[in-house]
Amino acid sequence: MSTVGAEARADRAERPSLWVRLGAVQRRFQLFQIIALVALFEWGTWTVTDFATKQSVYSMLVTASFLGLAGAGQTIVVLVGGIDFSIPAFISLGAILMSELTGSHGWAFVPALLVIMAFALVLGAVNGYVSHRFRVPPLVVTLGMASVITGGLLVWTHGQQTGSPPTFLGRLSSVNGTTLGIGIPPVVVIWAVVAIVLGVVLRRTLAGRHVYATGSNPVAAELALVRTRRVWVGAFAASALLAALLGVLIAGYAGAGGTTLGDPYLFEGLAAVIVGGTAFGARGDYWRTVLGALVLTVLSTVLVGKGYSSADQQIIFGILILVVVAGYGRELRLRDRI
Amino acid sequence: MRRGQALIDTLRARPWGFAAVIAIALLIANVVARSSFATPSSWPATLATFAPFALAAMASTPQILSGAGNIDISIGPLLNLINIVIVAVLIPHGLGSPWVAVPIALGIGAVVGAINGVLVAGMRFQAVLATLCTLFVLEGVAQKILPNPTTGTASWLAHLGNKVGPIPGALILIVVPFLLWFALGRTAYLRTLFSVGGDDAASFSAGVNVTAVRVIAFTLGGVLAGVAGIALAAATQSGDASQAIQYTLPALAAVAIGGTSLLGGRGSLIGSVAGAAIMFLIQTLLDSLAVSDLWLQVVYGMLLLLAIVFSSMLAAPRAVKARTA
Amino acid sequence: MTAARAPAAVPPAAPHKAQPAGILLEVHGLAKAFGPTRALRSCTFELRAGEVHAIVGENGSGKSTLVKILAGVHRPDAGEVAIGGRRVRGRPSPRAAQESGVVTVFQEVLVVGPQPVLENVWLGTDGVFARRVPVAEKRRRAEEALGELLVTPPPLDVPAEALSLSDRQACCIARALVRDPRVLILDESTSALDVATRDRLFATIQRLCAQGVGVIFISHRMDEIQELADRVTVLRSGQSVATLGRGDADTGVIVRHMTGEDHLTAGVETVPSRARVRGEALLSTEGLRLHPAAEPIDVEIHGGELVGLAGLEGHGQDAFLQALRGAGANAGRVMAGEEARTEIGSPLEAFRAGVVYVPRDRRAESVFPTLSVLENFSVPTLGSDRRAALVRWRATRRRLGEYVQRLGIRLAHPNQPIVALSGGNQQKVILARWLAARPRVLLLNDPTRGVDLGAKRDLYRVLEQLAGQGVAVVMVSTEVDEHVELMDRVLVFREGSLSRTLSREQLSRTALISAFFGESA
Repeated sequence: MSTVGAEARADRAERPSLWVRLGAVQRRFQLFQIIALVALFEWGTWTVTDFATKQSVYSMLVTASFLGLAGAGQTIVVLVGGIDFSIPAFISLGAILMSELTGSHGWAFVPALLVIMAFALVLGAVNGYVSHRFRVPPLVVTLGMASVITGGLLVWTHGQQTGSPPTFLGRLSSVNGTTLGIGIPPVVVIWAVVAIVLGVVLRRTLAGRHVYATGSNPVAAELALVRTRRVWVGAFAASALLAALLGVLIAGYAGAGGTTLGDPYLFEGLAAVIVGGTAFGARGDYWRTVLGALVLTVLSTVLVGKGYSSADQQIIFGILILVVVAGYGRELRLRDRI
Repeated sequence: MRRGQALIDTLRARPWGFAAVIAIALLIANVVARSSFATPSSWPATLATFAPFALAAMASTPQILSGAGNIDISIGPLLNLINIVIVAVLIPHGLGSPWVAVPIALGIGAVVGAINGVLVAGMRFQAVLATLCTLFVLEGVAQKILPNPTTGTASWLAHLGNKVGPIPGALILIVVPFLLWFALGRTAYLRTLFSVGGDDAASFSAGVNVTAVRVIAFTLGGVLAGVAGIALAAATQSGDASQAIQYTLPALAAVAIGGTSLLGGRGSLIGSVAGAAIMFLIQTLLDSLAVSDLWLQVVYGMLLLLAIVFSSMLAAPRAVKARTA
Repeated sequence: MTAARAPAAVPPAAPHKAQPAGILLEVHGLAKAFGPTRALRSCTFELRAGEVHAIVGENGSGKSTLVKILAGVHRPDAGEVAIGGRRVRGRPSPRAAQESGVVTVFQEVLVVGPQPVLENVWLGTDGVFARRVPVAEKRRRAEEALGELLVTPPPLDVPAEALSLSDRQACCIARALVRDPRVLILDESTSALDVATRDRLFATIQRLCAQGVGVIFISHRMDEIQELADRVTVLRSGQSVATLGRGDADTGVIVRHMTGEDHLTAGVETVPSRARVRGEALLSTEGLRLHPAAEPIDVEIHGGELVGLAGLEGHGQDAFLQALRGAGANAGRVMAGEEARTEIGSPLEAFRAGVVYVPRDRRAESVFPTLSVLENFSVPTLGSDRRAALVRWRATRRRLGEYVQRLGIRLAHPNQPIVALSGGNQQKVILARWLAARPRVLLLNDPTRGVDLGAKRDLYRVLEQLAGQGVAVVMVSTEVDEHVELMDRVLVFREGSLSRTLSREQLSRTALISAFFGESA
């Protein structure tokens, strides 16, 4: 038993250094990310032509919306201490079921949506249950689930997706779209609503607080009468649901479903979560992911404007995540675990 | 009840036994379904397709054995990158001789593996995150080197893909990790690796250099990924950057099916080969039975889920003895 | 097997002090802080060749930290350690410490479950690749060491996870023995051992001392210290306050040095127990068995009572407390609620019936390290601050405010991270978490462990107040004095059964300690 705690009253005499104080500010308020966002935007404005036009900013916002929505479920899962690699599969699930059911099988939009939500909730719940009940890494469970879902979709469609989703879905994510007459693309408004709802749920509902307690110390959470298995099941189900709904939006954007539609969103969604400053063990919230999505979108727009390929971007993102994680969420030293 | 307990004990002592039995059963089923499967002339080609698979699984094993939830999901892109370097860089630049290409392939594997090891064991990054970043950097590098698929070959590669003398070339490649493993078994390393994977805090307090053991485990995995890259080059004699992650899931599934605990400290190299064989033989069996290979992903995913649940139930006594501090 | 060979060689009664030989280990002004917590402030002592040097102190006085520094786990912030007259420098590691002859057996049983006994005994002696000791010799010496410690040593090839806890700890001790230590540190290593193994270990210690090895012995059991120690160094609040020779170190003196007072509860106004109102029954057990072979336990606990659960480590007091909170009795019933008539089947049911449990290990079982004080405080009771499903943090803050005053929590801001508080203050926040649930029965698992004296006294005061308000308090404590000075009734457990109940009138140190060992005082 490591009984390290000892008396320490009135021993915090020395004034904290500048770094310590900056660190404290950073923990409460994403100073670094905000500065990075502003700096990147300024850099783009000065060095890339037509960077700050309305068209370009809207298109960045639409891209960021997809990215931010892809990071929504992942944020919850990372907060409880897991990771979800089945998000791309659920995006495909939403996209393909919506396109095929409405496009090829003549279903109406709402029943198709309900079927998608039911599938996502059940399969997502299985992810959470299996990981928690059998204490296996959620990485592997969700990879297996992703394979089952993608394979199932291929079998169901015989490998050919022919349907196309309702056309109004496409308008939701058009850069020139309007929301109730206001000139903002609807997907951006949807994202804003999701951000507010998720922010409030995480901060001010019991379910949200239980997510933090579980992620911060599962043993203590269980002893504090939080039913951690339910929290895991709920978190993974929510992640699957959000991903499947994003899939519906993406199907509208792309005009068709496909089993690889979701692939880019695994890494980029996770990157948005991590770069925003959310880390394993219940540090962070969805607002950070929103910020992370904006930073990454502006960064990649600047990089594209400067002629970097997607391969370059991938490399830069990979290194960027390592840098951010180095500052936040590293594991305990072995010597602190004895 | 008591017989059940005896079975569980046997499986706990030799967790790969179960996978080996199933692999043999599948082999027989394959022969029954398509008798040409048993003709010796078809073996080199079959083994050549199997080799990258088996080697990817073996390359993923040491990191998992090293415990603490360690895992290297960049093995797939790494072996694909090494394949691309051989096919699209070394051979066109006249460096295709095996005396140059093989050391370079293994060297790239070792360096990337060591970087992963330092990130995880030295700098305390979560293994999933660190190797995910490596995965994407490697994929990006592969795309930069080879934006479009290409082919390239050398005579030694062709031999390895077919036969070297009377022996199927792929068999030689599959044996390499076992030789390495056997050699390490003569040193203290393997036992130390299993100790570290079994309980890192206990090992550390007893004076084991846990960081070094883990960095070496990742490096070893990288070297084996180099062998896997050579096997892929031999089997396909072409390179395609978009194929980077095709081996990631099957490799992890093979390790889990082979009875290696994803929590570390229990498992074996032979189990990973048996696991890879199961997955490969299911694929060929579905082929022979003319079942659409669209089913393949479903089967793989289900196998992976069942295998981890099963192996977690085997390892249960340890889970009960949860650490109190 | 070579069992019993070595111990017999040294008659236990022989004076085992070697010549006033050289000093093996010197510790001077050692200090170590973890964040805001200063675990060790200034520790100075020396270890002579051939002596058993006991280190004693209350929980949280810095013993474990001292051991971890000597074992190479932690690097000290200040002060120095000299081994054989040479100052220890460089990056510490358990390996480096062992190479300089300092070998430690930790309190926790650190074996690798799936690996065989032989591997566990020799763990860490090889290099990463290099094998340093031939296998035949490994087997021989492992057999020898285990044979010295155990009457029936286990086969060397079975996995360690198949052994009993005591045998596993014996593996850890054998691990230390095969390294031929110059300095052997035993950090509460006896608590996991059965009685026979413990006696054999003591004989081994005496054999080693006769050969000039220095032993640093840490135990919370005074009887062991009396039996074994040549000198005793007392730690209090991270400082070494005294080193006593064998003649001066009677229990009373040691306790006085440990606490700095004659009584733990000095300054707390104890309500005389006769004046305390004993209320209705709030919790009762019927035929409760902690394991199949144990005696059934029937107890009734009333409002306004302070009940202590005592016994040697692992003799059932902890399991009994768990059963009271609705988690895992072997058989029988636990009842709570109005006149103790509602049966409790799970912790959640217990909570609803007003039974609240405060876990033992603060860091592992209570604290949410990444969350703020306010969030840590509110987890189980947040439901009461909701309006229309949304939590009103202002109401939560107000609730916390009450307890900050009542418990004397030193707090800069409710939103500051809990890990920035000292151990005692963290413990108070945890207590506040559970008091906020307005319990009728409060179950506490060694709540003063790792807490400084001031915080302890605050806690005692709160418990007295709660009892005065009619709450039933049931508390496991490893400190005898807490039972003697605080409790109305103490239930003593032995081998999984309730062996004695001592009323306030019967309570004394000697009565309690003899009850631990199953003797009647």
